[in-house]
Amino acid sequence: MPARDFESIYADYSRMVYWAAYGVLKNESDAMDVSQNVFLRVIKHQKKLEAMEDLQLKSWLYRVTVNLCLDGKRKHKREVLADELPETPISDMHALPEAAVLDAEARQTLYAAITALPDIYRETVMLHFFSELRYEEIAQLMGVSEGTVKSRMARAKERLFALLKGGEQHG
Amino acid sequence: MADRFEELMKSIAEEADAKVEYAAMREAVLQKAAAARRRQVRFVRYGAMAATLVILAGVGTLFLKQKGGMNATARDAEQAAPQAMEYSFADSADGIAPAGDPEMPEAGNASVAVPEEAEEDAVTSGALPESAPVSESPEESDESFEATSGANGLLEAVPSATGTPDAEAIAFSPEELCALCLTARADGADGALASFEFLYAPVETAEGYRLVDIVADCSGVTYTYNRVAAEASDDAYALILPAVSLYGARAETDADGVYAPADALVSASAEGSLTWILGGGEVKLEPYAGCTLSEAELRALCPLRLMEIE
Repeated sequence: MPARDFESIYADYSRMVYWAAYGVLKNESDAMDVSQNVFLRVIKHQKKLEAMEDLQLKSWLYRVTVNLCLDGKRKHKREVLADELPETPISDMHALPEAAVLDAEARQTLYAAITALPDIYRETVMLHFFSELRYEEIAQLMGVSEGTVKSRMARAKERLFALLKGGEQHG
Repeated sequence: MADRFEELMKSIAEEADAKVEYAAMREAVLQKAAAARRRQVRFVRYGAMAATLVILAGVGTLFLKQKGGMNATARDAEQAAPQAMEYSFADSADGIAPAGDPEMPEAGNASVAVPEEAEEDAVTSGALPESAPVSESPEESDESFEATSGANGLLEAVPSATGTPDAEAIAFSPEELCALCLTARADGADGALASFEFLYAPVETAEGYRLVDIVADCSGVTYTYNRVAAEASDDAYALILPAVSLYGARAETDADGVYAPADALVSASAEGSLTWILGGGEVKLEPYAGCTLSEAELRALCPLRLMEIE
């Protein structure tokens, strides 16, 4: 049985929770609020979570995150448009040499395009690249097959490729 | 291009993640948790103090009523005795009776001995409310409420431990509601629904509805479905089973358009897949990986939704 406390859970999964929330909500402050509420529940159910295996815990966190996001969306009924996503965090063009193929403006556009993807593609992209989950893990969390995850990722890439090549953002 | 794209995506993700203030978020979580704990302790503490005050008021009122009754008896017996000022004050304003009562009959003194002791006990327990064990306070107050209510009828609005069935249903915690459902499931009753969570996932077409949540609260049990292919924000559908459904009611559609399918709109196969008719289209849900429920178990889990299994 894994020994874990709040601190270790937070250290291991805060990134996953935040970006999972962001993938659903497309809004930084809302994602932050939901993430906080998720970890409040972690504190509340800590004893139960201590007994969970890693995969169980990850699944629980993801479910709670998505559920809280959906609750919030149902309550507020507000849609954040992609062009309202403000804090595009791309600033350092020299962080990776590979990234130099695009200028800052293009990277910013790409980031906005990610957030503007359809829900299933955006969530998949967020979970893989931002939450750093493997396809297998994403499949388990989302309750789909690994093949589905791969196909969603492929379609997401197609859309983003199209953007990079100067095509339309929404195919 | 693909490798470069992967690298680019990772770099974008890393940079975006670097902007997230995880440390601040952690601090906020811990502060909120601490505040919640303080609120809980404060509620129990002040609740105990309030209960003590109510007890004091009730006992005092009882004491004064008994004393007033005895005064009337004494007046009837003596008939000619003039009304003392202290008694007028006590009777008219429910005020505090004088400490010493020279005209109080001996029998009367004996009869009020019990309330006086009770008042003393109450004062003692109320004098140090903060030092009393927190867990004991609600129990003390509940018992006192019932006793006081029965004694003088002043606290009729205070709920007793033997409330109506409806009141009990409303008072259920989410855990209790889920436990009820699970219990019902084990007993094979129709109210068994809570274990349905995550049994079904959408088929590969990426179209359909996925059961993403079951939430139980005071209003009932809500099953939330997410339309997988949806791009709009309000495409989460929920099946709401009101709390009363635990006593035999059926699912219904609420005023917000939250969808509750009729039995006729759902069919199931022997393999465990469900077919829904939602929004004019037909949707098929396959059993979630790891679902090993038999046909009979499926029926027991969702009696409101399953038609005849062919």
